[in-house]
Amino acid sequence: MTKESRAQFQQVLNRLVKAQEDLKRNHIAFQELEKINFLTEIIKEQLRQESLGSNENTHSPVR
Amino acid sequence: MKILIVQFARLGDIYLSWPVARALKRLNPSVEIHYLVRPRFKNALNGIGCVDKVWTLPAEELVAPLLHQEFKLQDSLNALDSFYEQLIAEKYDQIINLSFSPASSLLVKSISSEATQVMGYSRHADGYIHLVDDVSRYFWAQVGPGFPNRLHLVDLFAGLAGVDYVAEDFKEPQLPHLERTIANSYFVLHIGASESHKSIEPQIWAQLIQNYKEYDANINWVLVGSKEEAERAIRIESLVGEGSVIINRVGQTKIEDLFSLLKHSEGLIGCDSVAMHMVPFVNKKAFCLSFGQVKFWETGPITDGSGIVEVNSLEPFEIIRIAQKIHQWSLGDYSLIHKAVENVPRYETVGAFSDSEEFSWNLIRAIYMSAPFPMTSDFNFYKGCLRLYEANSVALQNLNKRNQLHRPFLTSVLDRVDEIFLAVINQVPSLSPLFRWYQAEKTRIQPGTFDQIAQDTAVIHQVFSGLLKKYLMEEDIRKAERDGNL
Repeated sequence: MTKESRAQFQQVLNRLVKAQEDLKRNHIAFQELEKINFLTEIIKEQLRQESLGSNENTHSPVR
Repeated sequence: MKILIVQFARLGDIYLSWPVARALKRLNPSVEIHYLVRPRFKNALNGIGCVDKVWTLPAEELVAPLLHQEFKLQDSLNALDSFYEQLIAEKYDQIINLSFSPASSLLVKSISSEATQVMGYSRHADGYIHLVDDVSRYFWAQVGPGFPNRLHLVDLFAGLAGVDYVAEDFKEPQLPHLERTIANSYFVLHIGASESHKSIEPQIWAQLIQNYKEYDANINWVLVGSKEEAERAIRIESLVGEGSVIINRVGQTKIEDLFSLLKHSEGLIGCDSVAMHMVPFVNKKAFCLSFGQVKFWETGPITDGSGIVEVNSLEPFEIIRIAQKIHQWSLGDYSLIHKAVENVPRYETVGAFSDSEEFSWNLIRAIYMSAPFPMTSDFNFYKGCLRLYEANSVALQNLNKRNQLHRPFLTSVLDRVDEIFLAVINQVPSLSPLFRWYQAEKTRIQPGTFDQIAQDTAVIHQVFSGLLKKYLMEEDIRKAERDGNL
């Protein structure tokens, strides 16, 4: 991944996070939120693969 | 019956999942097995011989609209919808998620129904992580860099899928052209690794080959690796020069070719990489140079008799020593290296672990595998355990009288207790396996009414209390319970 595409992916990630926050704030469309969460994780993995590999045991929040 | 195996990790992890798929097919020959992998890695399923359909995650289709100047999120969501619909239409009876990642957990939840039996990471209805089974909770809590697990990934996969391996699960791949192509005897040397921090520089490999001449001047060296590593291979060739036969196949081998080269070799030499996970299927041994963050006991070579050396330095004298160890290993001498054995855990190790690491591992065996709790004379451990017990007693006492308390009060007490737990663990890291167990257990709590959640939380604190009591004196237990009741 070039420096430019990395920056582009980071920008996409920021926009997805903002979309997540907007949905959470409005308490609507839970399924939509889950799909955006999935896309966010895919982008995060893309960025992470560059340095750490894809099979990290990244911990998600517990109740 | 139809099963979907989800494996979003890389080539090596896909090979480590082969025995699971084969065991499932062996145990139920009529079962239909589908795989879901990333497009780049789907060739790692060539030759597995038991898979009916391979799905690939359409990552490019999903991501391309997001990279568009206008950030076409809806297009991306539509593409995801359409992919999910295809998977939902398959009506899988079982989904076995071998990925242990947040993304896979979200996908699994989205494509499973109430009728689907899910194994591995998923999500509760409200989006919280759901570690469905014991192995998932174990993985989440105790596996990975900095954690004390010693079980190999191949065995964790088996545990997750509920299968026991037999030799047949490691049989040769069903591929054409596995015949011998090189007449002389040779080692396969995998010069690269899946990640740069796992790989070794060309001059080091060259020195190793030169040093090995002292023990066997006739052995050939077949270099393998990816196209991106072609220049490194040329550099190795030029550095080794005359006297050792190098056969450079870097960037030229397909998966089939690699299996063929491994099958007729004297063994594989390399770092933690995909080839290490291919050798069991051609019944060859490997010698693994393990260093950095890599934990060989989780992902090292598993063929009986494989050897591992932990590399702490790449100084010339160290390379001489490694060449000697490879020679000893080739003669069946394992006195100075870790040896892969047919057992769980997979290795007979030589001085690989410190006393504190041994204690953590034994504590894990006690918590999860019914082994006796390890003794310790560490007073800090005792004090830390007591502090955890005291805080846990406060949580339990409050949970037990939840009907008399305001909900916000109870919630804040539980939050405070978790903060105390964390503070104690920061002071006494040797208690981490216990705390991580507690955290993972909390992922079992389903969404529900406040009372249900409080009740489920109380059960976990109750069991946690039982674990902590193993280390505490009766007098201190009574005092902590008295104080928690105040």
